Amino acid sequence: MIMITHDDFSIDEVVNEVKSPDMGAIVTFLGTVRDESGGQVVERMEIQAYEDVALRQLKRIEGEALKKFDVKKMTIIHRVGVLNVSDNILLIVVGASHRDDAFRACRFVLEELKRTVPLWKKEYTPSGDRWVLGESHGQGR
Amino acid sequence: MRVRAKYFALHRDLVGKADEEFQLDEDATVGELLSRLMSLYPRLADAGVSMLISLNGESVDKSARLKNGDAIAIFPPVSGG
Repeated sequence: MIMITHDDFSIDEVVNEVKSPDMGAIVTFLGTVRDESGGQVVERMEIQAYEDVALRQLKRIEGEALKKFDVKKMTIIHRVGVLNVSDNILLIVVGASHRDDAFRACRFVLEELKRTVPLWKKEYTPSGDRWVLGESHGQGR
Repeated sequence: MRVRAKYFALHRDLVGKADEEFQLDEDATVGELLSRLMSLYPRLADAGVSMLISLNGESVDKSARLKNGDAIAIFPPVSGG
């Protein structure tokens, strides 16, 4: 399942949806809103998406991960909208026969998402708001 | 022809709107639309942040030709996750 949503999710429900008898390893990554960034207090966060393209990119990443690693199934959920400190942002759940492929596939999905999927975070601090500069900053046109 | 420009994140804030439509000459290029955007919104050029461009969701060169109904997106480097 690939989803971009305003709503929070239940990790247990997603893990149970991914889980099947042929899996011996399920790796989860949960990204949450941190209360600090660059030495400044973060009070809340806004996440914006170019939604149809982001969904297309996430499906591409899922397809690449399923080809590249020996994994059975995965789910990727990314939230959008205004989130508070400690709120869930991103959940990746990867199920595989063995742990090594599950860990590596989860890391691959996360890094590809951060590098290529059109999602943006704005941090609200006591001194104002600022868009987080992505890791590819400086490589654009 | 008509082409829709979509703005995201910092670039949406700089332009002050999420999207708008432009009437362009047939065979106009991405670069020509960008020049028009830069003169309409000088803050885009002064932002000091990389500006990425996609055409119908795919990375594109400034020399690419536009066609009626295309969607150009303008945005900073992505920062999800």
